[in-house]
Amino acid sequence: MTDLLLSQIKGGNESQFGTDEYVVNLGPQHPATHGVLRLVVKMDGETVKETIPVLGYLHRSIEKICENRTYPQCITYTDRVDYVSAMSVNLAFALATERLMGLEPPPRAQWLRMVFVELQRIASHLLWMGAFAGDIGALTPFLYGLRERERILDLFEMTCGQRLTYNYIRIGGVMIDILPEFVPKCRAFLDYFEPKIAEYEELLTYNPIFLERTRGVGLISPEMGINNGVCGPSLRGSGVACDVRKQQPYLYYDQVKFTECLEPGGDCWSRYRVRMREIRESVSLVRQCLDRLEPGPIETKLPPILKAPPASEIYSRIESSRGEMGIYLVGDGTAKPYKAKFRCASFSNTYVLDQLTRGWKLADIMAVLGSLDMIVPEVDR
Amino acid sequence: MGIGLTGVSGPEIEQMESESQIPGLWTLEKAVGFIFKWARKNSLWPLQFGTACCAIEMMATAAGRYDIARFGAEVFRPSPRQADLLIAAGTVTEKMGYALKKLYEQMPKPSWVIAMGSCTIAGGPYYYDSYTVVKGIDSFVPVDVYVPGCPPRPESLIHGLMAIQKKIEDEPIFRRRKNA
Amino acid sequence: MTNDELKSKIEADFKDKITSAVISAQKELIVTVKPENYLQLCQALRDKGDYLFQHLSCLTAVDYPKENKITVVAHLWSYKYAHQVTIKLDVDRANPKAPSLEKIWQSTNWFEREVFDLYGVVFEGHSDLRRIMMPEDYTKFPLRKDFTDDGFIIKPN
Repeated sequence: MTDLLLSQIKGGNESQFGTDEYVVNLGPQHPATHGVLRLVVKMDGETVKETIPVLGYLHRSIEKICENRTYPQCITYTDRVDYVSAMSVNLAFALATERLMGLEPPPRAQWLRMVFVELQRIASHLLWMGAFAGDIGALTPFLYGLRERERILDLFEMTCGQRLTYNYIRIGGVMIDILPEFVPKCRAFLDYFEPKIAEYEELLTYNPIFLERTRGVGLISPEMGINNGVCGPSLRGSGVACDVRKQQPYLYYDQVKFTECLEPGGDCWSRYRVRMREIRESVSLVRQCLDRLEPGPIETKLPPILKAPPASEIYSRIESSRGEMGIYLVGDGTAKPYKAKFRCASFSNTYVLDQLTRGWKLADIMAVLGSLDMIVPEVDR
Repeated sequence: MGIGLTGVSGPEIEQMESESQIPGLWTLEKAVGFIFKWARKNSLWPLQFGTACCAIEMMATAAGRYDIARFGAEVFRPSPRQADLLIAAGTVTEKMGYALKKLYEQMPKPSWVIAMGSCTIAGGPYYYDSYTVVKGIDSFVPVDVYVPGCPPRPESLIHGLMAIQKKIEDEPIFRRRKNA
Repeated sequence: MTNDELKSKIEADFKDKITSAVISAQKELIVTVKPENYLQLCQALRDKGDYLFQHLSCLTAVDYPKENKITVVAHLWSYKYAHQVTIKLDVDRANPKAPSLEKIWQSTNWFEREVFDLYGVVFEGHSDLRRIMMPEDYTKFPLRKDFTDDGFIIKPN
C-alpha cells in the first residue's frame, strides 16, 4: 500500500490523486492588494489557473462629478484619483485644460511644476518600494522608504500646506510661489537623499531571497506588453521605450538631460530596477530644474470664468509616476467639462495580471501585483 | 442608493449593562475593572483596513516619524478576528459597504470604530454627484470617534486614538449587544 | 509624421471608409469612421507600415442625448513614429452597438467593459462583456447624461 502511495505521489496515476479546482478569494480587504482590489483566484493545488480581478470597490464616480464642476474645481478631485502621486494628476489635468483653452503658463511656473512632479515621483517610488518589499516579506524597506518620503512631504507642506492632496498645480500656473528657503532645503534634501538610494539597493537588489522571489517571475514580453496596454515603468522593464516625457515632451522636458531607464528582463526584478534608476534620474532632474529657476510671475492672467471653446476636445498625456496618464476633455462652451475621462496607468497595467500569473504559485501573485505598481483609486476612479 | 445598507445594525446596537439589571457585575467592575481598562486601552489592535487616501496617512502614522507604537496600537492585523479597533480609512462605496459591515461583525466584541476622513463621516467631497459613495458609514456601523480632514494628518489620527483610549477608561467594562 | 501628412495619407488610403478626417483647433487629428469599416480601419492602422499604431492609449465614449447618439472614442499612439490619432464611431443611443476591438488591441477588453458598464454600449464580439465597476445586478448606466438614481444628489449651483 505504501509503495503504491509513493509511486503515485512521485507522479504516477494523476487521475486518482488529481486535485479539484478550487477558488481562493483575496480581498477586497487584504493587506497585499494595496487597498480594495479583489482577486478571485482559481487554483489547482498551489498552482494558479486563472486570476479574475474584481474592480469597482473604490469606484467613486469622479468622472461624473467632474462633469458637474468647473475646471478649477475639478483639480481638487484629480488629487484623489492618484493620492500617492497627486501632483502628477494635478499636472495632467492642468495641462489638458491649458491646451484646450490655449493658455501658456510663465516659465517659472513650468519649472516649479517640474520640480514638484519629479519630487512626487521620488516619493511615490519610495512608497512603492516599501509596499513591494512588504508584499514579498521584507518589512524593513517600508520604514526606510517612508522615512525619506516624510522629508519630501515636508517640502510640499512648506509650500502648499498639505501632505497628500495638494491642489498645488493649477490651471495657468501654480497656486503659490515657493518660500525663499525652499531651494536650499530642497538641495539639502537631495544631498542627504542620494546616498540613501545606494543603501536601499544594498538592502534589496542582490538580496538572495529578493532575487528568488522576483527574478523570472511575471514575464512581460515587449509585444504582449504593448498589445495589452501596459505602460510606464512596467513596460520599460521589458525594454520598450515608452516614456511620454521623451516621446511627446511637455513642460520643459526637452530642455533637460535625462535618460530613459530601460531594462531588458521583463520580470519583476527588472521593473524594480527601472524604478530604482528612475529615482536617481529624478534627483538629477530636480537639481537641473532648481538651477534653471528664475524669478518671475507664477501664473498667467485668467478670465474670471474659464470657459472652453464650443465643440472642442483634447487628449493630453503625461508620464505620471505609474505610467502614461491621459486626460480626455470635451468642452461645450460652458465653464464645466462636458466629458472628462481619466486614462490611468494602473487600469491597463492591472489587466495583464491574469496572463502574468497563470501557472505560477499563489504567493507569486503578490510579487507580480506589487511590481506592476497598481493603486486602486486609479483603477476604479 | 436603492440597495439598502442601512437598518440591520445601528449605533444603538451596543448598550451598556446597567447597574440595576445584574448587580454582581457592578461589584466586579469596581474591583477589577481598572485592570481590564488598562490592558484594553494600551493594546488596541487595529484592523488593517484602508480603502483610499486616508490609508496612506494611516501607513505614515504607523511608520517611523509618527510611530503609533507609542500608544500600543502598532499591531495592524489583517484578520478582523484578531482586531479590536476598526479604523475606517478612506472612501466607502456601496459595494465596499457590505464588506465593511461584515468585517465589523466579525470582530470580537468589545470593539471600537474610528471613522477617519470626511468621506467616511458624511461622504465628503463625494456627497454630491456621486452614484456610488456611501454618505457616512455610521448608518450601518456604530462609530465611536470621528476624525475629520481630507485626509486627516497623522496627529489627528493619533488624537482620535487617544479619544478611544479615554472612552475605554470612562465606560464600564461590560458591554452587551442589545439584540444578541 | 506631422498631423497634416497623416491626415492626407489617411484620406488617400481610406477614402470611402471614413466620414471625415479633421484637424481640430487643438491640433489633434480626428477621424470619424463608418460603422461597417471600423474594424478594418483599425486593423490597418495597427499593422500598416506607415501608421503602426500599436498602442491603444484610451477608449471611452461620450453621450450626446440631443443628437441621439453615443460616440465611441479611441485614442491611438505609435511608439515608433510618435504620432497620435483619434478614431470616433457614432452609435445609436437607443440601441447602442459597436464592434469590439479586442481582437486587435487586447487592452480594450477592460476599456470596453467600462464603456458598457457606464454607457451601455454593447460591444459585439467581446469575450467577457460584464459590468466592471458597478455591482452585477445594477440596471442603469451612470455616465449617461439623463441618469438619475435614489441616492444620487445633483449639486445645486
